[in-house]
Amino acid sequence: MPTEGVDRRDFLISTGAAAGIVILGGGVMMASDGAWAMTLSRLKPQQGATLIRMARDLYAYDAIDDGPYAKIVEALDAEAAKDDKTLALLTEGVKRLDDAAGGNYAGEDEAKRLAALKANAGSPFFQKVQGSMINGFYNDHDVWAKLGYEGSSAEKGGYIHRGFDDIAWLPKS
Amino acid sequence: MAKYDLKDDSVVVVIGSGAGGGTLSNELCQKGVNVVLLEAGKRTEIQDFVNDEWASFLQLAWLDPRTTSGNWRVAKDFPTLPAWTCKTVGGTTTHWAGASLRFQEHEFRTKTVYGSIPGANLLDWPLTLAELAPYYAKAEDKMGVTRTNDIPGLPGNNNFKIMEYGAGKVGYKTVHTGRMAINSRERDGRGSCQQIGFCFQGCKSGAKWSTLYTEIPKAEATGRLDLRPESHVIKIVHDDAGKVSGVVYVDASGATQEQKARAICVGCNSIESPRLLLNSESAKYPDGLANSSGMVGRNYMRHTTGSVYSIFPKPVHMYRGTTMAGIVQDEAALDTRRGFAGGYELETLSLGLPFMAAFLEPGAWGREYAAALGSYANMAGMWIVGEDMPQANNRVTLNKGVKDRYGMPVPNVHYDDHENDIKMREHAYKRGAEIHQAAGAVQVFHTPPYPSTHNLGTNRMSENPKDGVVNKWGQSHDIKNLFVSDGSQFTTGGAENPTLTIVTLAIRQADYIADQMSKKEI
Ligand SMILES: Cc1cc2nc3c(=O)[nH]c(=O)nc-3n(C[C@H](O)[C@H](O)[C@H](O)COP(=O)(O)OP(=O)(O)OC[C@H]3O[C@@H](n4cnc5c(N)ncnc54)[C@H](O)[C@@H]3O)c2cc1C
Ligand code: SF4
Repeated sequence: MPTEGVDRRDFLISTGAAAGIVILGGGVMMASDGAWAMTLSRLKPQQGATLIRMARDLYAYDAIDDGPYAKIVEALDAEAAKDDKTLALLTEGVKRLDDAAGGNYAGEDEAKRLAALKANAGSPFFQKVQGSMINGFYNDHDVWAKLGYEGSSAEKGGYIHRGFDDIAWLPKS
Repeated sequence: MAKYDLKDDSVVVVIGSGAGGGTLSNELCQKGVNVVLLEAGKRTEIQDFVNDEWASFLQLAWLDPRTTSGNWRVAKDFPTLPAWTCKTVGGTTTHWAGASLRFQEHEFRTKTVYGSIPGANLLDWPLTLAELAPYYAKAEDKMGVTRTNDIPGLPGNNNFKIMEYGAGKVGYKTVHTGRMAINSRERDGRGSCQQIGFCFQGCKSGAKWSTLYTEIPKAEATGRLDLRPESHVIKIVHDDAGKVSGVVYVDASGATQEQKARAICVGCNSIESPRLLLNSESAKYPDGLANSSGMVGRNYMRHTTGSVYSIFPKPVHMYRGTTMAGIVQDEAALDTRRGFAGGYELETLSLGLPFMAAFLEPGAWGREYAAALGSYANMAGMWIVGEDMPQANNRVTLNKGVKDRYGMPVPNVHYDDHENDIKMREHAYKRGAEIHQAAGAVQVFHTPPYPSTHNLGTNRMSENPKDGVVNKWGQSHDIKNLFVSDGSQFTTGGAENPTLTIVTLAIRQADYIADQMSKKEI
């Protein structure tokens, strides 16, 4: 099943983050430094790796590890598990992206990957992943913390005593 | 709380509990009129609100299917979401920001003042500012608008300070923290603004006026209001004489009901109101109710909007504090030397990171866009709100190919930008950018319009029944016990955020309806 086409032994894929991705058996993938792990039920690990790399290329932050990107891919996989159309969209889309990059998208350099992305931009597959990133990645509290958004404030009493008007660098007029 | 019988034909039925319908219901109840208020959405209270953009959108926004067409950018970016409105008790006054400005005198007479503009279907209102002024005063008092009734302005947040500084450098003079229906101090049993920063998600402190926790409980306290949440009206019906006699709605259990009525007031916001009138077609009214002029659904306006977001070298934290308490008014006056008719306001605006990702530049991706969002903490923002031209073909029609869950055709919203709108937007982008640059912005974005938050004009007021749908009381020209009570009455849009005027018209309409009822005219 999930390990189909992949050796059962562990191996490492680089997605540009400091830590690589280790593929374990049973659809489990994790960061080589153990920072995160995800489980794929329908997508193959190599497909998952391509998607993580693609997600990062769409909205790249060097300061963010693969974890939040992997969450998006995991959610796509969960959707694919419930809906064959989504599975087909993702499988075919990943194949086209890999093909456009010469076979293995995740393994190519940035220039090649960007060219492959541009060739696929606007396709339903591309829009699907892009939409998941916009609506999911930027709605992830870990990402908020990294990008400087403080989130819910009512339970902290708002900002009335917490800096709503604390700008100090602006000249006085 | 009152409970009226479905067959009770002495009640006034109000449809929609937002700015227009919620206010009208309360005003009628205060005058001793019995009201059934039908609201499609649930009753969600302050304690249920969430400081989370997507979660709040799913909780309160109108998500029923809609379609789009036309050359406006929204049709491309958000083809199934032409507008951001709410479906909940309180309507869009739960999500609104509170900016409350009166129209300018000339904005009631644009046909006369602007003259003939090709492609624009301008018309003078059958009303003047002088006639409305006493009602504006009542509305400002009711809503607790800052800088009126001796209510102090709100304190400026960081986003405002950037605007104020830059606007000063550019030479603008009328710059302040706005006229906001947000308590700057305790008033009317509600506390003062805690600078929570989620005004668009429902105010957790209740400082911001919303019919949900002002007009509606006040109406309930009279014992005359029968509020029925989760009651979606699908059709207005009439008697043989042609007067409206009741409404057909689907209740919370999914059962279809018919409520009889003496008079019916439609306050469903400017997409659903014309849709309901059109969906109420009958053998007697084959083009829909109140539509002998053919104007129902036409002249859809949404304001010439757009946003300017800029990145500064140091943190701004624009999302802290009131979302829209900041305004530059110098461009609101008429000055055709700028190359366009009408004027615009510049108002502070912030979005949280989730919405910013979706709206800053819809469809964008890649390192540069990611880097811009990565500078979120250093961003400041402002919104352009200017008068757009009414055009006969900008309109809400029934899309008979797409049905909602009740089997009713959904509304299609068609909008083409007028040349005047485009010129105004370009001008405003430029001026907005100058303000931010004067305050040190290193990168400026011209963000395209969001789904429409201001929806206007689709049942417009006119002196002559041939030119519009309702008279100066919001009463249908064709059917005298049928009223329109929301922003769809607007003859033209003005440069100002519309809600204060919607509330003003509702207060005035309540006087008229009560008077007509006592005279047995309706
Ligand atoms: C994010 C945001 C910010 C805004 N900020 C401002 C601002 O600062 N200043 C300003 O002036 N305006 C602002 N607005 C606009 C303001 O919210 C609207 O102008 C105002 O609420 C419109 O009032 P209304 O009565 O026409 O409609 P709404 O307030 O939208 O109420 C309509 C009600 O009718 C109900 N309804 C619709 N169809 C049916 C049906 N068939 N059966 C039963 N019920 C139905 C809906 O569920 C809804 O509750 C903002 C809007 C948004 C979205
Ligand atoms: S900033 Fe003020 S008005 Fe806005 S949500 Fe918070 S308390 Fe309410």
